[in-house]
Amino acid sequence: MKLKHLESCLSSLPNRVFPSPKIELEQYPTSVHLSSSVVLSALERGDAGPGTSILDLGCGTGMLGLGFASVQSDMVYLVDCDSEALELARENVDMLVEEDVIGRSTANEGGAPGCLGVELIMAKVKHVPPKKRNNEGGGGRGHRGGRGGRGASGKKGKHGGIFSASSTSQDDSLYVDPRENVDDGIPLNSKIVDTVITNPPFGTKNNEGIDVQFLKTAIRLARRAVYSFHKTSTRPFIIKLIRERWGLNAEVVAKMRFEIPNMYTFHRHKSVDVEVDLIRIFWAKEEGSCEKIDGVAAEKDNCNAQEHIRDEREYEGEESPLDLSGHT
Amino acid sequence: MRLLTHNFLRSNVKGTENGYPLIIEVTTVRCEESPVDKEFLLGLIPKVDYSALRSAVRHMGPHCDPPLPDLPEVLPSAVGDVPSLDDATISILHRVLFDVYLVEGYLVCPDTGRKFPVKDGIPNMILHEDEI
Repeated sequence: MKLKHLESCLSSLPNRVFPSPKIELEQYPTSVHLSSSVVLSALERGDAGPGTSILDLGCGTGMLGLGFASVQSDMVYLVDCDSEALELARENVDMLVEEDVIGRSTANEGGAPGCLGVELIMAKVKHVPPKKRNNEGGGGRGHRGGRGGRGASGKKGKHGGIFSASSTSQDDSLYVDPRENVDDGIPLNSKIVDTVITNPPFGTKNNEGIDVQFLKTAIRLARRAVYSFHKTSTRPFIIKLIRERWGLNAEVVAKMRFEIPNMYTFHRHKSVDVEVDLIRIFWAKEEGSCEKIDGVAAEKDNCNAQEHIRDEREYEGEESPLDLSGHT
Repeated sequence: MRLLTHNFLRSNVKGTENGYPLIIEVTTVRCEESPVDKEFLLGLIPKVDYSALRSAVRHMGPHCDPPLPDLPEVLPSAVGDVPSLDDATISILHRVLFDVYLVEGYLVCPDTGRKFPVKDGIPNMILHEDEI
């Protein structure tokens, strides 16, 4: 499917923005162009389209998840904690059903395979803010990592980068393999879909580290790959966490610029531009496992061994990621 | 909510040991026929918890029109790779997984009895503060 086609498909959705966004949930729209580009990146890599199932964690109005539905992914699950967002998403789904993008009717049996269906679930990622060590000093002011926060300008000082967001704490839970079965608030079995897409909240001083919590849940739910957005300023931390602590592969698929409305009235500017990466996390298929859905903790070993560290240059050098700056 | 989704859902309210499978209390169901995709279904079956599906069908069956038939106790060679199923079984499995929806009702935690409401087809699995 061509970019233009997908864009026009998503442009027809009635609810592309939140009429009254909830600041605490960091609800702001994902543009048609951005969603379409993300979906096509996943399609190119074989993580979306016919033969795959997709889950959008923190779906909002469903722009990303429904983009995946529009490229004929078999099943799409939309998960969000906000009932109003899900209502908006539902109206979007209905529109795509109307247009025969979602659902196969018996009338056109034998026709082109399309998305079988979209399912909506209201659930909330559990977030326990990491405990801080008293003696840690510096770097611990959480709101730097926030979407509307000060560190959001994208000019990353050494420390504003690596030590912002989730990295201030030495909390052990951060390093637990995300594919282990834990209670993360999402009442779904592990490995239920091929690919999870998530545009997580980046966190504020009140929910520091929530982006990593979303990422962990996304990894637990996926069999194949996860696409997640993270502030570019946290890239070294996130990539290192994924590769070295969790033993998974990571690549920066695209970099972009989000225009993010400011959270607090005392901020001088109405919105702020934040540099954001789309990161793809993936791992080798487990051999011979029949992937019973009643997921007892994943057999993690055979995925761990391979190429721990692909190469520093992949995230130091900026040559490969798709540049989507200017299209928020 | 399709029964395929029910198959993935569990309760994680505080005090839950297993929380699976959720008991279905039916208020309204909807049935909609859709074409069977045999290949897709055969790939899906090994990922489905079959006994949970059977119990869901027992809860939903009487409310459907026509009522859902009981599923066979075990599927032939259901363990391992692609199961070898006859067309009749495939079409029943397709119907129960994809074509019946719980529109209004409750999902009940088998351990604690906590009821999760389903409204307009969307299960609300949000926990209260004291349940986390």
